[in-house]
Amino acid sequence: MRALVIDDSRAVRMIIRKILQELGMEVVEAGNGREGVARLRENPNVDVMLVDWNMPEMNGLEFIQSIRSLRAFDRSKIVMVTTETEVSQMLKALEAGADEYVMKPFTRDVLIAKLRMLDLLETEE
Amino acid sequence: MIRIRDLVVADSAAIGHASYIRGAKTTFRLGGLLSTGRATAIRLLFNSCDVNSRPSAKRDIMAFEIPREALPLTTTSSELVEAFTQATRIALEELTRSWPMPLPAFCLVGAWRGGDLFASLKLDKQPPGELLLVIPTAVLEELARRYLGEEEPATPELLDDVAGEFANVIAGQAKTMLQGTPYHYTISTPKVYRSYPQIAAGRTYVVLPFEVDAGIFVVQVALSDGPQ
Repeated sequence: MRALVIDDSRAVRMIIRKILQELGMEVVEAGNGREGVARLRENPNVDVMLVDWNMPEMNGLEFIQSIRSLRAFDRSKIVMVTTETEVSQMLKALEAGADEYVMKPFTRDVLIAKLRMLDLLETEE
Repeated sequence: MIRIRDLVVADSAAIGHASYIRGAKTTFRLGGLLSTGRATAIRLLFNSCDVNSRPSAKRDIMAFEIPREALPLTTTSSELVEAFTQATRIALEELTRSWPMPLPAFCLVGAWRGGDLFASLKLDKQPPGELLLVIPTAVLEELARRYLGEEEPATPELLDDVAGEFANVIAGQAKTMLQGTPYHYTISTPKVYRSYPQIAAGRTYVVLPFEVDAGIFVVQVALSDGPQ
């Protein structure tokens, strides 16, 4: 399982990477949406993308819109991980093509629960 | 646990208002002083500190001084105080398992100057606002250790990044709380400075100091109730 983590905060990428690696995932990182697109060109087989909203150059919403316009990534799941905690923003992200939404600050358990909901992890009995 | 050895009151008239020390926590009431706009400076000197989770760490904790130019909070600024106090508590509790205790807030024309690391976040609306997190490096190092875990070495670049993320999460939480009010804004990306950042002349900030077991940090907000 391969994940792409896109966040302009290195600290946040580090925390998410650690959680995903503990779950056995291979992790690729990018510092904004534009870099994220470049990483996808290099590593197109990505199962899940965890994307921040507010980033320089290309924000998370723009990234999702551009990725969802490409059929190549139809099967990749997208999780928006952001400080935008308003329902209207959440709806905007889901309409753009995000599959799940995680509000910052988040815990390890919340992130894992969301990945389970997307069938990326086995469900706990 | 931080032990406060000295409470130095710069203006003797403040002695009657200034508080009591209870165990390891210091509580002080300055509402009366600030509401009269009295020029009073109170300096808390942290002569020694003993951080439970890291007993060997001797910290250079910032002394917090209420400047003489401090202004009382207005009714409208109280709305900001409530939202950003709550937001800061939620952010720090969730990210670092620290429990910030709010110290008395006040207004100031021009931001409060102190600390050595500044995370600034533009709050987009008309006119534009700003959130400025001022945090001493020693306090940030301790909070970053809790946020990132023991094994990550806190390089200056990573500390900057953590300060920016703290500001980002605080702004995000407060934004939701201010939804439907004239203060509502959109968030930009944080910028971190190692020297005092340039601020708009004449801008008034609501200054919110907080105490955690690692020391004191300050959240400052400049936000008007003009159209978004």
